[in-house]
Amino acid sequence: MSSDNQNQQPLNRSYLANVTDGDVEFEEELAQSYIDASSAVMSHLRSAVQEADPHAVREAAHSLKGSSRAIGADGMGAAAEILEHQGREGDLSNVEALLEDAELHYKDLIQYMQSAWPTTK
Amino acid sequence: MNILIAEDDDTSRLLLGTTLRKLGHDVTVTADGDQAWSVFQRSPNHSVVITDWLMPGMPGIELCRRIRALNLSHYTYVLILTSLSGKGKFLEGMDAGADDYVTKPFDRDELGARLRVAERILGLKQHVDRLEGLLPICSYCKKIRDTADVWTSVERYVAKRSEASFTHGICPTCIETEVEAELSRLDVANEYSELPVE
Repeated sequence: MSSDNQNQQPLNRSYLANVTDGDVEFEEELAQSYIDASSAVMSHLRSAVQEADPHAVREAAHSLKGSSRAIGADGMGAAAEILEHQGREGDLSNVEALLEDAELHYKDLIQYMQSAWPTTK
Repeated sequence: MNILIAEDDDTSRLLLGTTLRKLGHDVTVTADGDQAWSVFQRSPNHSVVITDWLMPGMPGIELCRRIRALNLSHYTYVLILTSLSGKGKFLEGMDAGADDYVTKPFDRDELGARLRVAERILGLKQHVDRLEGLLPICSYCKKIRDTADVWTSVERYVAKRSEASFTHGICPTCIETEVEAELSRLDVANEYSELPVE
């Protein structure tokens, strides 16, 4: 399986505008919250993959999927969902490649957010 | 409404809490099921609980079961907000006592509409509770004492609190014990009145 979202924007801005009711300050607050929280979850996911722990892979990927989809980061959400599925099935055979895919989505997303909201850190 | 949220994901929690406040609700935010359960036990007056399903510690479905097991005199509307989809999960959630089930990511307008339904149902429940409640009634005249300590007739009390209106009739027992007895008394009185006055 592949998330296959490479050609999409990392963030669905119209979804985000809809869910925040067009409140641009709230959009920025959500972006900062995502940046703050997701770096620790990505670290958990990397450790879980390294330790080949399917339960931990599932938990970290589930969390990333939820927060990504909540703000309209659909590509990242899809990549996380595939990892969550593999963790749930206990099948970690191609999990390194899936993590690599998620890392690419994550990098693009954070770069996009930091450029869209320059005050985010 | 007074809403308690249980959501472990920081960004989703911020989004949900802010959205509900913007919709005009009073919101208490907790980061997992255990925290939500402890807050609910201390202040069970929340009219709505919105809970994620998968959280570290107590899952949302267990939070829902525990709230129902308290058997509170007032009703708490429980909405499960989760990324878990499918008929099986939906049925499991509803069987645990949830009133509604929404999958993530949520749509702001849809969530607002579902909360208006919750408000309507809670209003109806309060209405039914008032009608089913223990009413002080006079043993002689059968008037009911209302919440303002005023004695009111049963007809007026019910008409004020429901769509019911009364049509007046006489039941068979009262025909026998009241009406026929009264008619007999009137017959006797008439017989006496027809006697020549001496």
